[in-house]
Amino acid sequence: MSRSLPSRDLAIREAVTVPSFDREPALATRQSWIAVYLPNLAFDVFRSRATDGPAVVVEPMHGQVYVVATNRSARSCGIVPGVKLNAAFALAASLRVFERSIRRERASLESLSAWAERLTSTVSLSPPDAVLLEVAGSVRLFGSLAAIKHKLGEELARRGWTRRLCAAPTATAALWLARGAVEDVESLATLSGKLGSLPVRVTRWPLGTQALLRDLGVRTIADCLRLPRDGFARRVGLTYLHDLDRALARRFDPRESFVPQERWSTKRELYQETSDSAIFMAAVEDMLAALTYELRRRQAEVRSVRIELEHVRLKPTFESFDWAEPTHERDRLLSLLRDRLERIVLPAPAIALRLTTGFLLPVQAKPNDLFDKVPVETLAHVLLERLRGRLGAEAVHGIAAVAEHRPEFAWSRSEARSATCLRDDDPLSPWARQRPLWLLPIPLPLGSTEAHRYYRGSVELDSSAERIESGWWDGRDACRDYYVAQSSCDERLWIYRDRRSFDWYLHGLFG
Amino acid sequence: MGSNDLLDSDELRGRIWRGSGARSARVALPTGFAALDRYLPGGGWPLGPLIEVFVERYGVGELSLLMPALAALTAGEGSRASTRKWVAWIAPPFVPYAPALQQRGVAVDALLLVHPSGKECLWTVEQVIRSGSSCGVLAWLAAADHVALRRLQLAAEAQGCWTILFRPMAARRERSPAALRLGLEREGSVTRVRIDKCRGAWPALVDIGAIDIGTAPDGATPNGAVE
Repeated sequence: MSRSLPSRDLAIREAVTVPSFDREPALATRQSWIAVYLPNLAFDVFRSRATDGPAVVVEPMHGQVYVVATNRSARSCGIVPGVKLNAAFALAASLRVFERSIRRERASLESLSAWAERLTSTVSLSPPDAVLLEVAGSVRLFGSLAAIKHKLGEELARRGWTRRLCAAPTATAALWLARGAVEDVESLATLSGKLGSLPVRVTRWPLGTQALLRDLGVRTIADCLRLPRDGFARRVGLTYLHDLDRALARRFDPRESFVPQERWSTKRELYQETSDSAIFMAAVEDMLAALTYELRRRQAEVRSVRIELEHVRLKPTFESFDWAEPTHERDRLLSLLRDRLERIVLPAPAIALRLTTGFLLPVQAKPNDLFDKVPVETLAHVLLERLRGRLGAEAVHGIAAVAEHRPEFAWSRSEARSATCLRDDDPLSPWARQRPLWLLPIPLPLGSTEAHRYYRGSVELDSSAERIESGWWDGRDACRDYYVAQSSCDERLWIYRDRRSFDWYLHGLFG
Repeated sequence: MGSNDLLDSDELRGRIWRGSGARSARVALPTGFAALDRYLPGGGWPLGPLIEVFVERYGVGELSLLMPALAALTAGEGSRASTRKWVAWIAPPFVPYAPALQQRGVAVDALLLVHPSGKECLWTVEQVIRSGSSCGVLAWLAAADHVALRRLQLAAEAQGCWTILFRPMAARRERSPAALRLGLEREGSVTRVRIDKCRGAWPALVDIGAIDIGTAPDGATPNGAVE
C-alpha cells in the first residue's frame, strides 16, 4: 500500500500540539443554524433557459469536458454528473449544453442571502452551493424552527431550485447533515450520534485526505471520532481535527456575515420624446444631484454608472461609464457623463432616462495635502478617463521599448502608466547605431507614390549597411540591410534593402 | 554722477522696470543648443506660452531640435516620483520610435500618446494642458484659428506647460498669439532655426550648427549580422 505509515511513526511524538477539549461544549450561548444546501445549483441557475428536453451543465477539467449537473430528463437518459460530454451526447443526441457559470451561481447565492435577511440578521454564504442562517433569535418571532424552514422552502420552490434544508446547533454540522440528507438535530446531546452516521465525503475534505481515511478503514464521521485525537492530527491533519471540533461545538465556528452589495437607481421621465442632448443633460444633472446626496448620506462612492435611455417602441439604449477610482464628487461625475452624452447618437428619440450605479463602495479616506493640492496621480486618472471616454480606449496609450532586433517589434504600445511609476528600464540603448525618431507603421517601397509623400528627389546612401537578420522562429523574419540616406531635399531617411527580394523600403525618418 | 549711478541708487531701485531684468526672470527650459539658448529670452524654451514650429516635411530634424529639452523634462523630474508628469504627444504623424527616444535620453514611460480624430484634436490638446498632469505637450495641429490658439495659450500659461505645436507651412502666414514661432532650414550638415516671432527678441536666423539627427559614427565598421 502506497500510503502505509511506518509503525515507528506512532512512537514519535511530533511537535504537533493537539488541543484538548473540555467535556462541556465551548459555546456558551445556544445557536441554531439552518443550512440551505442547493445540490443542483449549477444547473438551477440555467433553469429559465432550459426546456423539457435533456440538458446538462459542463465544466472543462484536465483538458476534458465533464458534466457537472443535469436535469431530470437527462438523468432519465442515464447521464449523471461526472461523465464526459462526449459520452453524454452518445446517450442523448438532443442534449442542450450550458457552460458552468460560477458568476451566476455566486449571484444566485447572494440573491437568496439578500432574501433570507428577512428571516434573520446572520446569513452567511458557503460557496459554491450553500447558504447558512443562524436563527436562534428568530425562532420566537416566527413561532418555531419548522415555520422558518417552511418559509425558506416556499421561496426556494418559487425559484424552482433543488434544495435540502437541515437545522443543527452548529453551522458545520448543519451543512454536513444537509449534504448527507439526514433530518434536523435539535440538541447538542444527539449531535454526535446523528453526525456519526454520515459518510466522510460530506466533509468535502480534499480527495487525497478522504482516500487516506478510506485506506485506514475510516468510512464515517463516527469512525473519525473514534480515532485518537493526537494520532488523527498527526496523520490526517490538524485542520481536519478542527473541522470535527467545529461540527461538534467543541470549537468556535465563526462565519462571515453576508453583506449585501447595493446599487442605487433613479429615473426621470421626460415631458416629451426628444433627442436633444441639452434636455438629457438637465435630467442627468438632476439625477446626479440626487445621487451625490445619497452617496454623502451613506458615506459611499461609486466606480461605475449606467445610463439607460428608454424609447417608446425600441429597446432601451445603454451607456456605461467606468472610471479608474471610485468617486462621489458631482462635478467629476458630471464632466465624465457629459462628454459622451452630448454626442450620443440614438436610434430613436428617448422618453425617459434611468441612472443605475454600480455597487456602492464605502468611502476610502485619502491623505490630503496640507495645502489642498490635488496629487498629480489623481489629475492623471481624471485626464485618462476623460480622454478615453471621448476618444475611445484605443486612442490613448503609452509606449515602451522592447529588447528585439527587428525594428518594427522593438517598440510596443503600453498601458498609459499612472504618473507615479518609477522608471526601471535602463535608459542606455543597446543599439550600436542611431535609430530614427519616426518609424513608419508599415515600410513603404522606395520610389512609390506613398513613399514620395515623405521625401523628394533622389536618395543618396549616407552610411554603411547595418545588417539585421532575425525572427526566423515566428514566420515574420527580417533579412535586411539598413542604411541612413539623405534625399536631395535634405530629409534624412532610414531605408533598407530586403536581402531576399532586393527591393528598397523606407522605414523611418530622422525627425 | 552718471545715469547708471542714479538708477542704482537705493531710492530708485525696485521702482524702475528694466528690460534686462525681465528677460532673466522668465521660466525657461534650456534647449540644449548654446546658440539658441543665447538668443532666446530667459535662456531656453519658454514654459507656458505657445511655441509654434512650422514644418513642411518630416525628417529634417524637427524632433531632434526638441530632444535635449524633452530628455531633461522627462528624466529630470523622475527623481521625485510624486511630481512626475506626462509629456503628451497628440496626433503624431508617425510612430514615435521608443528605442530612438531612449538613445536620446528620453524616459519613454513618461510619454502619453493620444490619437484623436481631426475634429477632436483641439479639444484633446486643451484637456491635456488644463488637466495639470502634463508638463509638456507636443501636438501636430493642422487647422486652428486665432481664437482656438488663444484658448490654448491661456491654458498653457496657467499651467506652465511646455507646449509645442507643429503646424503646416500654410499656417505661417496666419495671425497667432504664440510667443515663439519658428521654422527649420537645413543646408548640408548645418541647421538654422528661422525665428519668425519671439516675445522679447527680434526675428532672426539662428545658426545652431549640426544637429545630431542620425549620422552614423564615421568610420564605424559595418555591424554585420546582429545575431
